[in-house]
Amino acid sequence: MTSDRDAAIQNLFDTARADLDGKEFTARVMSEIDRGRRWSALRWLGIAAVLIACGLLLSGPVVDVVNVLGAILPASLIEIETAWLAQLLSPINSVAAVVGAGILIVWGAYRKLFA
Amino acid sequence: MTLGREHYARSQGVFLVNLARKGDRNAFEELVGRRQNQVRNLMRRCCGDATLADDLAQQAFLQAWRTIHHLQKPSRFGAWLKRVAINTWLQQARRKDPLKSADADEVSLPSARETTDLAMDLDAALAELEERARLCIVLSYHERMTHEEISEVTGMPLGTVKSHIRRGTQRLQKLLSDYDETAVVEERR
Repeated sequence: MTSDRDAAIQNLFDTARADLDGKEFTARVMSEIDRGRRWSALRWLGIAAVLIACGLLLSGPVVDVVNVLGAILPASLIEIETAWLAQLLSPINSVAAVVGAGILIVWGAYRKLFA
Repeated sequence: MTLGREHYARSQGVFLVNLARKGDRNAFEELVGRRQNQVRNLMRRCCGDATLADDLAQQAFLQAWRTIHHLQKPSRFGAWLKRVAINTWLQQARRKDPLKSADADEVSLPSARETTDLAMDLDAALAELEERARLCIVLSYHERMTHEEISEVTGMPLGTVKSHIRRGTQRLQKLLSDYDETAVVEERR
């Protein structure tokens, strides 16, 4: 630990230290904190209102999209007559399998290019 | 549970810090009251402008309120607050337009009622130093920090800190040569 200070300069610093009245300053700081808290509460209320509005507005379309995906994704790519064989191959013989493979390819390419 | 104001005033610092970490506004208010003198004086020596110093001290306390829940050891509150204040000053120094600051340093002198002649002369002399050198000098003489602590808190290499303090001290000795021991004793009266 090193701190070779000049005694005379140290003396000047010690003497120049003012005893400041803190009441007004403290009140100012606390009023800023209260203001910040009010703004924060308002911001969260705003975000909650926007999320609720979005939920209400988008609930219909979201349900429709889910229904459509539910109908499309399990559809077979090639029609197989035999029931047990169709069941067995369904993980690879479906629109969902193609979409899944597509996502994996894009993700792999992205990681190779940018990671 | 809400405690009375006199209870906060009688409480120990560590207890208040623990309450403030849990979001107790009154505990933090008491801490601001206890520490404001230290932080405001530090800022005054750093920037030499009482109004700006109070604004920066206020920013430091607001930042402390926002991040106090991250403080691991309540007993280290003083050192942690000092670090927050120094970072506030460093951010301000980085934001400052170099052209404006050159002008401002020449004319900016403390104007508060509490400021003594010695404090004004000291601030004027400090304003002659380059910002980083001034910060090192203030942390060394005002906060009595060691070179290693200054290096750690400012992120400057130890050699740079030592060099700033050595050259800064020499410059201050020249600028404040009128203040001998007698003058300081007079000022104290």
